[in-house]
Amino acid sequence: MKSTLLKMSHICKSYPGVKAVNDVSIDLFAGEILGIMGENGAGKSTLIKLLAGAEKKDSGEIYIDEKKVDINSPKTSQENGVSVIYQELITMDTLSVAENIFVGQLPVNKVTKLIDWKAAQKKSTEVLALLNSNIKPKSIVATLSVYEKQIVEIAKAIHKNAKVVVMDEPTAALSEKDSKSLFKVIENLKNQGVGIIYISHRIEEVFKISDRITVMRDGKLIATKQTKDVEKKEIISMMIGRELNQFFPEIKSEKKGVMMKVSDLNINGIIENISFEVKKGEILGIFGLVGSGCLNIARALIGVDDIDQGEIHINGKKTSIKNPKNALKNNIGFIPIDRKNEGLTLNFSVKQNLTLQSIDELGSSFIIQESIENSIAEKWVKKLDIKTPNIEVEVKTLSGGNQQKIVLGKTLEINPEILVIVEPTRGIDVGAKMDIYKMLENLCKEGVAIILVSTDVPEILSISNRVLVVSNGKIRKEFKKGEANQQELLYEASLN
Amino acid sequence: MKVWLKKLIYSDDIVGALGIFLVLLVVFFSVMTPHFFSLMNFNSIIGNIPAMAILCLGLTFVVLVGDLDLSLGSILGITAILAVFFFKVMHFPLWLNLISCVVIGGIFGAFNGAIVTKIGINSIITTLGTMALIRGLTYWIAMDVDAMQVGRITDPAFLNFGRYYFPEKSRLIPITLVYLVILYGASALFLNHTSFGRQIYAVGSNEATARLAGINVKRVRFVCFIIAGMLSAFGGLVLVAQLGLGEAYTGQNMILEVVTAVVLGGVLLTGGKGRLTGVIIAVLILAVIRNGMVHLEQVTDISFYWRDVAKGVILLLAIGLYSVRKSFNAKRLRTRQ
Repeated sequence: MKSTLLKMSHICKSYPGVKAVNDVSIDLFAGEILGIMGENGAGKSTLIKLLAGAEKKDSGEIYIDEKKVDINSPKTSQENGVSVIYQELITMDTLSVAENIFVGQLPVNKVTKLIDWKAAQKKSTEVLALLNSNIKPKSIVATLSVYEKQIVEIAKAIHKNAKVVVMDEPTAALSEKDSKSLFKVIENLKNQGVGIIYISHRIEEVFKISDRITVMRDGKLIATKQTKDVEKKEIISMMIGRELNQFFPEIKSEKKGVMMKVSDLNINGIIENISFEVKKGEILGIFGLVGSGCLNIARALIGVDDIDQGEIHINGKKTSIKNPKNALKNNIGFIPIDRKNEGLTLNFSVKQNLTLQSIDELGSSFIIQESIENSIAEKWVKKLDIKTPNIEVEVKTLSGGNQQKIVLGKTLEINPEILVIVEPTRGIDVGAKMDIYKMLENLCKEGVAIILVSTDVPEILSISNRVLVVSNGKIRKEFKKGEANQQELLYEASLN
Repeated sequence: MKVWLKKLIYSDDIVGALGIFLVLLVVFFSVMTPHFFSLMNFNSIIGNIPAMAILCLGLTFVVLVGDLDLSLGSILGITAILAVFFFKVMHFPLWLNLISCVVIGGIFGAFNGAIVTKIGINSIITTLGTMALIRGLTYWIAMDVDAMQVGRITDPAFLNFGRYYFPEKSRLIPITLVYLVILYGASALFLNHTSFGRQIYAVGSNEATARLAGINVKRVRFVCFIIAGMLSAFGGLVLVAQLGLGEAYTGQNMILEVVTAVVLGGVLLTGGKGRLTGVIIAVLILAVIRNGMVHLEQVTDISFYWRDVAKGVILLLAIGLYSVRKSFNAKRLRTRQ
């Protein structure tokens, strides 16, 4: 066997309340591709951040070339030959390709001590040629495609003589063709003896390119297997651990007539021919992995993403939804994925947040009637059991669960007939989760149609009446309640 | 630590600190100079602030939605010239003059707002451009006004618009103070107690949330530019009546001090936070420093040039105190994430 390039042993990292990485050990050989798989929140990203020096580990050791190294900052990580290419690329977009590749180390003229641009360009061209790329060193990075930016990042890693290259979901934003080119580049790196850690949700990709696969779940290492000795289904069952129905209430509701009908929704290059119906009192789950396009579907329904083609019928009437205001007028409520940046106005009080969407109806004239506003706020604080000292405190001082309840209350105040909710329970405690599920159940009983977009597998399987599986912008499959288990759902979603 | 002192330091509200700072300044100048503490001098301080205070009010609307308008001084300048032109050449009655100027101010504001919201150019860049553009127009119009030798305004009705006192004889309350009370009062009511006012704060605090809450973000920002333009025009009219003349360079260089006052008053440049009480106190602080330094120069041998130095130091101190307090608060409010 080849020499061990990287060894991370017994790594632990806790955040308040969570063991994000719990006694994980991995090793990586020169000229090897190690795939790391796991559900959202399994601890993959944290592990990588520890290796990159972006976060400090609580305990454990890291060895590079069998020498113990002390990685405590991004700088020390890079000095030890580790390069991380994050999903959100961190290229400096206003600078040229050459400046990005040589960041901080541009060649200088020996006499004048000024930057030697000719040498920089020549060297950049050489490095890029190794990657079979013809990007011009003078191009400004902002003008490049996502794939080309990735190549620039890889070139940067090569230039720094990186021994270990980590790639986090590199293909999430790439077309099939670009993905194929990227795989060639990765193979190329591998043949040069670089060790590569490849993190991806896409199981087929990982099987195609990796030598070994490590599976993580709930911060723990589950197993590391030789890719050729393992089945896809086996990997998926290792990724799934939590038992179903443990925390979830049985949501029963009576489904009546069709509330919303979506036909042939298209956003060019993003989602393709999306069609579905939601009945009154039904929860329709939409499940997809990062980059599948299910967020775009949710955003199109409330007029944030412009659609290129397709029709939406509400209560049998054709409706066009151009912006969120339009959506609200059509009684579509929305709970966005990003509580802090899209759901709440953090420096507003509990009261002001709860009434933000219904503000036009507060009082008869355009002057806000404080008594009405207060009673609306008090109503939701009570109904949703929001734990807050009073309704005047700023929402940023509340816990995640209570903040999420405020987002829910704000939306429910407009009496929506259709509710589009994205990741409603991400990062909140069990108690608040139960309260939110209970509220959803009540809404179903009242005949509200709910579209739930979630990447939480047990959640979406337990509380939806039906689940649509989306991958690559298309609906792959529809499961009725009880038809699919966690493995099957994840398997369908990870197919391209 | 004493409770009130703790409250003062930790309070997120800058208004209390500014108020105390103002009082300290007044006490300082009253002790150090013989003529500072008098009704006449206070009237003179108040008499110097109206245009400035009105411009600050206008800018506050724009800053609250997260934009900046550097052209307000130029809008004040062009209305000053237009007011003279309308009055002396077109023979507009006072009321028509007022309405025309305010409408024109609103149109310039709308022009800024349209470029910023419809085309999507950054407001600083946009208004840097319109600042020069409007000032250029002003000089061009002023050339005509000069050529016609229309000169000063002597009409008592027009002058009274900026110089009248209640009651007339004892010269107790200047009419400009009445304007300020009405404008600031109405604006505070508008910002804090109407749904549109709430939307202004919402847009400035978090545009994405505001948009998802069904607020027409572009319209809100657009309207704030119009309000700022109209207020600047009104400020120009008041200034013309106070001075008895309007010149092409009226209001030049004013915008820097306006921005200073608004920032000192605690209005967050990124939007969403700020109160009018803070703004008006900041205007007063700047006016007191300006006036008090003149008095100080008369009784000591402090040079005239120290005036700006003192102003700079005091501003840095005030804003520095604010930052220190903010980092205190950030520590206090740390949460687990």
